[in-house]
Amino acid sequence: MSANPLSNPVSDCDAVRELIPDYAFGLTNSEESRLVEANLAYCPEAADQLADFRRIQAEMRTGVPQIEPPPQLIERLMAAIEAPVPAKQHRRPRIHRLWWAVAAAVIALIVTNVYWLKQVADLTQRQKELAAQPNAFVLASTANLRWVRLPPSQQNTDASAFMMWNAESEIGLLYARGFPTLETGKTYQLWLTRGDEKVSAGTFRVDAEGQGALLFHVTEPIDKYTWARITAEPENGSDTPQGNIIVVGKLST
Amino acid sequence: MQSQFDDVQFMRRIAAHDQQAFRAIYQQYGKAIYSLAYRILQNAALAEEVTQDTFLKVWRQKALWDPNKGNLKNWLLTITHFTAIDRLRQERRQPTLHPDPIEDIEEAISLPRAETGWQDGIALRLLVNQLPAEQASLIELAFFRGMSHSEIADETDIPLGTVKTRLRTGLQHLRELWLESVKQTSTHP
Repeated sequence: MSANPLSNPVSDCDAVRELIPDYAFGLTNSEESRLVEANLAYCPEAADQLADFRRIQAEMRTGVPQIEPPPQLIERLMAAIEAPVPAKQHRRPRIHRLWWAVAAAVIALIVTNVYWLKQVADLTQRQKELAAQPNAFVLASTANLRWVRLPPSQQNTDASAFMMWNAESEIGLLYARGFPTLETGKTYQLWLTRGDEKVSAGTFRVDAEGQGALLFHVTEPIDKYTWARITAEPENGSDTPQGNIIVVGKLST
Repeated sequence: MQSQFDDVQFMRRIAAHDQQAFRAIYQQYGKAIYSLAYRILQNAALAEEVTQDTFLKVWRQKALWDPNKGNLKNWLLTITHFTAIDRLRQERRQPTLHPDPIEDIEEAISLPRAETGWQDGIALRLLVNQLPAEQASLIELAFFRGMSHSEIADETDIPLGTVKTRLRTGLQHLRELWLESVKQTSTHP
């Protein structure tokens, strides 16, 4: 062991011991924390005290009232681990907040109907057919609204999409962000799949910031599909997915 | 020790991307993790996100558990705690305390002496309830809401010096109660 660095071991250890409760609960400033960490090895009483507080904290964590998590959470987790892992992990600490904000904004947009129809009218012909106001209200006003985030595929770590739909209906809403800008003659296409069946749910474009939206309609309730993916396809879309997968995710049913 | 042994096996299987082992770990600890996240965030959607973040860190090996430094449950709950506090601070638009929670965990998790919680921490709750209310409430703000001395002073309108004194006194008092309870438990099994 190296030499004891404390100039006055007794009084310095008293100072360290005095700081332990605050240190254990993250309440010391950086200078105080350094003092504790530098001298803990030479102050056994302080080390014991800190160990006691760590144990107390562990019991405080386990002693909270126990609540059953929502049953669908495990399925969402399993879907998340089945999705391809991004090659490079970017730190996105506020992503969930952003998604909630996006979801709230989109729902508010639908409910208030503020220029929503004008926006979807700029999308594909199929979207135009679906952008009827009653459909939008069906999506937004029901109690069985489901949602899922589609994480990026390995090659496109910044792209992600948020999809929501009603459990019983064939109508869904997709919001995409961080998508690469496509070359002329290309479009993005949403696919819903189950087993070998792959159904196109429509095409959409993204703006210069990589954001786009799609109100889509399929012939069966969306809950019957197991996966959603978005690929880059030729301008008029493809019959089956041919291009690179941008995002992919399991539908949590 | 059997449970510790099983945890080691499960974590090895998870490192090998065994999805059944991942599901088993969730079934074992998911409720405790969600409950802690909910206790801190008081919001079901945010608690779900933090639970998901915690398990994904395990799956993606962003957090590596060392069985020599504490049991798996405490380790998972420490990750959950830090992640939830940071999420809470984001919601309050405050700077995060743990930009990378994993880096702070090793220091916070080492648990010498007895390894398992006494009666799953329920007794600790009772001990906190024995503290004077003004001390217990400050401990609550520091631990379950991740507040600093000055944030607590702002929140409670109590002078900063009083907050510091009450918290320190309360924590020392809590430790004394806890040591006494551990002693009684060991002499009266």
